[in-house]
Amino acid sequence: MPEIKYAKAIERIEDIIRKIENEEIDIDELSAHVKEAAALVKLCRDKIGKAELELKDVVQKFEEQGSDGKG
Amino acid sequence: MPQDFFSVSELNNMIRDVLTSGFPRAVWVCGEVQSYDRNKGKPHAFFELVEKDPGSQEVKARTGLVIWANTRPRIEAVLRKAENAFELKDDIEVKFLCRVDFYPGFGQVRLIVENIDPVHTLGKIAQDRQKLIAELSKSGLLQKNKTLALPLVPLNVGLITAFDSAAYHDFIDELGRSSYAFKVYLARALMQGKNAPSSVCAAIAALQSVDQLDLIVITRGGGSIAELACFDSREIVAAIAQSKYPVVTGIGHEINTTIADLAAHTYAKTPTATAQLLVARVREFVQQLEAQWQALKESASGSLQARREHVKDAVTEIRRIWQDLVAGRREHHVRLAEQLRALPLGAAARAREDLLRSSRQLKNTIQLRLQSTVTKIGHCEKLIAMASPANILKRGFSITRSGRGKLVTSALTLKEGQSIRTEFIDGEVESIVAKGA
Repeated sequence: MPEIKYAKAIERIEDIIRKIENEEIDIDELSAHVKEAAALVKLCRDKIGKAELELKDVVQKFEEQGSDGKG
Repeated sequence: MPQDFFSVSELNNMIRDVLTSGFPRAVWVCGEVQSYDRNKGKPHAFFELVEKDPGSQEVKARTGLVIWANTRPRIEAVLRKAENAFELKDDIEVKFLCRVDFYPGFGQVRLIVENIDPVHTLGKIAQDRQKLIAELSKSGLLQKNKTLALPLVPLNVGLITAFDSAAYHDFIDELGRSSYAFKVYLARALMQGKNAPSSVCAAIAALQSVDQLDLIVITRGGGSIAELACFDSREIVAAIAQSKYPVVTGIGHEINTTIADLAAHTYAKTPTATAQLLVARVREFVQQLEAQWQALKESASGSLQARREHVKDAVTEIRRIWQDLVAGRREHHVRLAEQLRALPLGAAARAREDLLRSSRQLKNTIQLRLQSTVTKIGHCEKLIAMASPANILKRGFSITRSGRGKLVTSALTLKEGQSIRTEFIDGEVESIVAKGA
């Protein structure tokens, strides 16, 4: 689910910040963690931004269900 | 001879006279409007007012009314001026000021509408509404959709509205302006009139089968309170309560909220405001994400800086220790040089002579030692030469071996009759021991 990814991304970044601030991450891991966070930020940015609005009509479905409901 | 009967018209005219004298003034009458909607586009409006049994909802009484074309503008003006403007239509309860009339041509009583009291209708709508709200709230239907979590990033939107309506365009345009990747699944529905509730419910049901929606938006443009009354619908409330997706309503009304609004997870006033709500939520996430990313970069670079400081401190410390060492060594050298410089010149010359003398002595000693060694070696060579078996044999000695070639060094080892070989300087002889020792 994409929505879960957004929440997880924020959570993960917060987790990394906390670890850095508590000095739980050594210098070798630091760069890997920052890279991971950068990838998450990029993933979110790409999913949210720079896209045209997309429109899908579910009218067919609705009409079918509507007639089912009446029938 | 006088007639003993009336013609129909005579009777109808008399009834009319009796009625009009019995109702000298117009009276206020209340009832539910029926068969009004069929008058659209006609100059006069013929319709009915009915009274229903409060329990069974069956019609107890009905009467015919007419609004003449010349009265209509007045009625409409009164309605427009009302606090919450509404239009006459079927199923609403209305209080009319009517003149009771009898139409002799048809033999029917007809109420001629002269005026209207909108307050009554609004009051009645409000009252019914309050009753319904209390009932729905008690059953938990108004709260159910609010228990769903509104997604952090509501980009996948199920939209219920009338296609191509102003509300539709306002909503879509506002989302479009955001430049976020909104994906809208449109389920067209009737947003006004009698059939609006069932149409909206069908649209909610249709959107349930769309995967991965973030929420559903129900929106329409502003309207009169009576127009929006179709959203005070038990049916829509139930559908919203059953929805697996959170529902956000934007049923355009500035003052009042509909019951659908109350049942929704969140409500906004207009289609534009609804879209802004979604955009703001996405923006909030983006800002949070960027802030976190910024914080992470700062804390990472802070951590690096701290480590860099540590390394720098260590390097400084090492350099200091090294410098101390070097300085110590240099001082020692300087001291030595100073000591050397402190020696008097004569002493230096004497030291040189001493050195030359001692090196000469060393040379002599080495030569003497060498000569004596050479002499010793010569002496040894002589001894070695004398000790060689050839030289020994020359001097008359001989070597005796047993028959098997073993050196015989003791007479006691030889027995009588044993064969022995004797080696001389110039050859060997073989002999047999005649007598043992």
